Amino acid sequence: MFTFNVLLPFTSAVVSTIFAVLVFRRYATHKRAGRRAAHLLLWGIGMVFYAIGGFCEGYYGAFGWNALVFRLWYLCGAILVAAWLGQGTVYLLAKQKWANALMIVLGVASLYAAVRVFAAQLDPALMTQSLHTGSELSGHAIATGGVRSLTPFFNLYGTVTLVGGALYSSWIFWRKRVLLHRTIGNILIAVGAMLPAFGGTFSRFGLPNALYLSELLGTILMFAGFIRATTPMRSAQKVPEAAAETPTQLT
Amino acid sequence: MMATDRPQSENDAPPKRQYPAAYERAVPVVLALIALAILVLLGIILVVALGLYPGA
Repeated sequence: MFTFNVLLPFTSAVVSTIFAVLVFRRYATHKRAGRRAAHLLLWGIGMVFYAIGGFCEGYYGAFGWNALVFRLWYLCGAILVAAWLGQGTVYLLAKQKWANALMIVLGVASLYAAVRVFAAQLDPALMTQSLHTGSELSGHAIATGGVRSLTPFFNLYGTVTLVGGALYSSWIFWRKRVLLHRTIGNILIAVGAMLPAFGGTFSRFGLPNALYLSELLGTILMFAGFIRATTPMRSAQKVPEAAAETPTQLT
Repeated sequence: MMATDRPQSENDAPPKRQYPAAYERAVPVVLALIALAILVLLGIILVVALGLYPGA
């Protein structure tokens, strides 16, 4: 149990951090070249949230309860990560003015969520409610009403934009039969982005380690998808690839 | 007599682009499964948002 509750989330945090560094580097390269880059900045920020969430889970597993660590975990890992990753996809796929408008909304909502989480009363004993053993972090520790109800809205936005966006991009490339590496990359990203959500659901039904394992697999798949999407394949399609005409490029 | 038929090669449509065979079969199946999973996930989120089941 110690191994799972410490090793899994810390490994997830390390993978997410490496992923974030690579994404930020690509952002810097794109900025220097005068290319669109906002999506990379937001993906990098999203992966930082992912890493913070994993670190907090590992910390709890190794050292036990800490109110600040819990608040950071809930804010970054449970609320913000999916929505901010999804916002990056919005910048990639949507017109800039819509992306900017949604960014303002997300920014204000994130600030509000941060205030609510850091002002909430906590009771770690509540984490052993229902089927939870208390060995993993759980939002049940939040005693103040109305805070946990924020999470579904952020996750809804994140699911539609991140997973839906990756699915849409993959479908566009497949329909045109171009850039196979981006089709595959987007599929990996979509699957990786969904795993933590399903893991959280299984965790609520008492399946041990489901959340932490799904988070680790999720970040690995998203990382693999990013690498795949940004690395053209050497094997040829039956007809040489045409230049991509669609703006739905994962760069 | 004037030739009324163009050479066959000029009437050929450009070859249809295709992924390698394994991907041609697998990609649409995977995309459909992901779309289904999204719907399931959205359903779960809505159930939690409506307070029918406690969330994280």
